[in-house]
Amino acid sequence: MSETRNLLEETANKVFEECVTQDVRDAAEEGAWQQAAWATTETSGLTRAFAEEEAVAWEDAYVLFRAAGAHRVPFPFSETLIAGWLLKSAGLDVPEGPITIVVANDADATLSRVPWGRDAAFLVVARGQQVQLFEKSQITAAPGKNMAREPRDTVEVSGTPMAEKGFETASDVARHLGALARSAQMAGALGWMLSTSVEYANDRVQFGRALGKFQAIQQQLAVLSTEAAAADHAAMVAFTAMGEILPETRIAVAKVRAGEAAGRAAAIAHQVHGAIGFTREHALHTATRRLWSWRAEFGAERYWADKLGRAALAQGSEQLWPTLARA
Amino acid sequence: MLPFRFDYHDLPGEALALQGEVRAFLAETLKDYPEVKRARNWSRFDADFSQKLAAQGWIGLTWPKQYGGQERSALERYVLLEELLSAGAPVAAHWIGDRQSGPLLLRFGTQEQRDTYLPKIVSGEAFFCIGMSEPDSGSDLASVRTKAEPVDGGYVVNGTKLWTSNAWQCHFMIGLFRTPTQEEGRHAGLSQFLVDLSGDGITRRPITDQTGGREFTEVVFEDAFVPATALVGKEGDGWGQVMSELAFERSGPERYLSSLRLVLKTMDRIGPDPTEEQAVVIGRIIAQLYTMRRMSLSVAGMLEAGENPNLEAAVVKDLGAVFEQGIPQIAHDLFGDDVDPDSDDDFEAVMAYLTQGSVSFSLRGGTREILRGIIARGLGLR
Ligand SMILES: Cc1cc2nc3c(=O)[nH]c(=O)nc-3n(C[C@H](O)[C@H](O)[C@H](O)COP(=O)(O)OP(=O)(O)OC[C@H]3O[C@@H](n4cnc5c(N)ncnc54)[C@H](O)[C@@H]3O)c2cc1C
Repeated sequence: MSETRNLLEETANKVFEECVTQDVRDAAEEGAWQQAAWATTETSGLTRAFAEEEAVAWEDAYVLFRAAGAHRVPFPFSETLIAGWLLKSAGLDVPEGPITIVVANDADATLSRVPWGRDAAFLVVARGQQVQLFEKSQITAAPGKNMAREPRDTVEVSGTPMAEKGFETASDVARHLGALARSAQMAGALGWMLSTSVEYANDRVQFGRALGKFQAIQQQLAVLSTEAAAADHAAMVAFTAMGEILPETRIAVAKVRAGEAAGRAAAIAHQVHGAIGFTREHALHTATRRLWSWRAEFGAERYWADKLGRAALAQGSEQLWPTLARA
Repeated sequence: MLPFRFDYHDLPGEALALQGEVRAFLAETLKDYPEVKRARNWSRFDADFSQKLAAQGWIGLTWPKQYGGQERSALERYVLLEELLSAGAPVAAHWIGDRQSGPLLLRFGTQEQRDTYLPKIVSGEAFFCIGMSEPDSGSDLASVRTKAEPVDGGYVVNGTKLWTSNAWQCHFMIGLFRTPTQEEGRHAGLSQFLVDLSGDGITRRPITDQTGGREFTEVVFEDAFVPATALVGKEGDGWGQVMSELAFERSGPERYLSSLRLVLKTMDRIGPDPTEEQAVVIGRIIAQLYTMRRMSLSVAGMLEAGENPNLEAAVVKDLGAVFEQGIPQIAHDLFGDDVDPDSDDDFEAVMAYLTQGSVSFSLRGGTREILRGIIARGLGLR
């Protein structure tokens, strides 16, 4: 691990621990924009990791996305980062404030499932081959949400973009960026869920023993941990190859692998927690519901697996190993 | 947050160069080698093939030059193994010596043992097997009963080793036997010996498995004499030595590539123009395969860096076995035909073999339950 990465991770964990409390998550779920938490995060400089002249390297930035997932951050932190990277890559300035991002086709009049569309100060639309920037006053948002009750709004924009640049395959790039971000967030949420579940199993006593002493529970948690490890490594591997040329295979792999891990791991975490984990009061759902949502966003497993599968089948089985060993 | 470390590792230039060499060699050497044999992979014993590899200098690749090794890196060795396995090369003959017995001797062996055996492993003349399991000792390895009693000039061994892969075709066994001890505890009084299997009092009987393969062997010791020089490491230190050996055993790419042949044959059957369902199924397999490979490479990188990725190796092996064992089910769901193991159709033969064979993937080298127990300990649950 590089020193930068350690430092970034420490900072992110410190900032999020301080400003993203369970109360903040609860309030966000009721639809209230968490300005104080956003402001603390923005002041820390983390939201501008890709925006400045000296950008953070992707392989180091991995830990920012992962920490945001682990802390289940209820504002568009990841979105601001990837939107910033896309703007900058297209040669545009990155404004201050929360930015959200959406993938669109040329003809789309309404933009669907825009993260925090109603709250963001700016919106980046990756439309076909254009990167477009809109500001809040141009946005009309009809509220919607995902399973975790994070805002996913239906948005219409008015007027001409504040800024616009042709950028080869903007919508495709943005979809990859989104998938990449969600993979890392899922890895973070999985890691948190593992720690929480292990802790719970060590505390909760039944039949005179901590649950964690029962072999059936140990084996389940072991499986949860291997799934979390796989999702984490797949995401890290994708981030490490990020650059001007997108590591498309690695991103597709990361999203599929994290999505599969999310399903398996969430089921185990709930089983280990029993009824308390099924309540609104217990925090477990802050991870599991996000995992179920995130696995579907920016392309679910089947979307990315279809791409991977088609490419491999078109090449033929003889090329499979050489291709994988190079990717 | 995770109790594991999977650092990012890429292959260095030397390893990539070797990758090309190995591929070219295998393309030539295995030109007409049938798919169903390739599916048997590292279960298939072929002394000729191992000798061809030896001639390339590809056994004992990382070992010191003084024993015939090449002093190449762990990542180069990793690439070599990956290429051998992905091509389905028959590597069983030298596999154990290269992976386990040689490194064991390098760590704990006497100078004489190293000088005698390492060059022979490197030249493909000495094939080794692992004598750990017994009729009454499987997962509970510390309960082994085969005894080595000290006598003049050495030991007399009595007992039975079971499931010993390819012992009937190997020259030597690293056996785990009980030796006398004053110490208490189940892990005390265990010692490792390098046994010449051609010796008197040793009877070997191959056991046919459900795939028709003859890898399993029962090895019976009846007053078999082994000289004092056969002791590996210290008398009574066997348990610790075996545990360090298992790290070599569990961390390699053989732990996720065993069903690759069926993936490839399934792809051939689907062809270049898949339905969405078929494309998705193959894509999911690729996502798993690629992730396993990166994790496996990460473990190799950590070994190269002199770290001790025991826990990580258990994670990779467990994930790998689940993955490998899932492949026949996937192929069955896609096609669902009854298959003849002796069919001329490659898909059929490979499918039949791996459906039957893959159940063993979560047994050999430590069962799924034992591995998950190790992982649970790493999580702080035990
Ligand atoms: C193909 C193959 C090759 C092999 N090659 C070799 C070899 O070369 N040398 C060698 O020494 N051995 C070899 N083995 C043996 C292998 O190491 C054993 O099969 C393995 O250790 C399990 O032992 P067992 O088969 O006696 O099963 P058992 O230990 O009897 O276990 C049966 C089942 O019970 C479970 N179980 C056992 N104990 C526990 C527990 N405490 N908690 C929960 N579940 C438990 C196991 O996980 C397993 O599912 C080979 C096995 C196979 C299948």
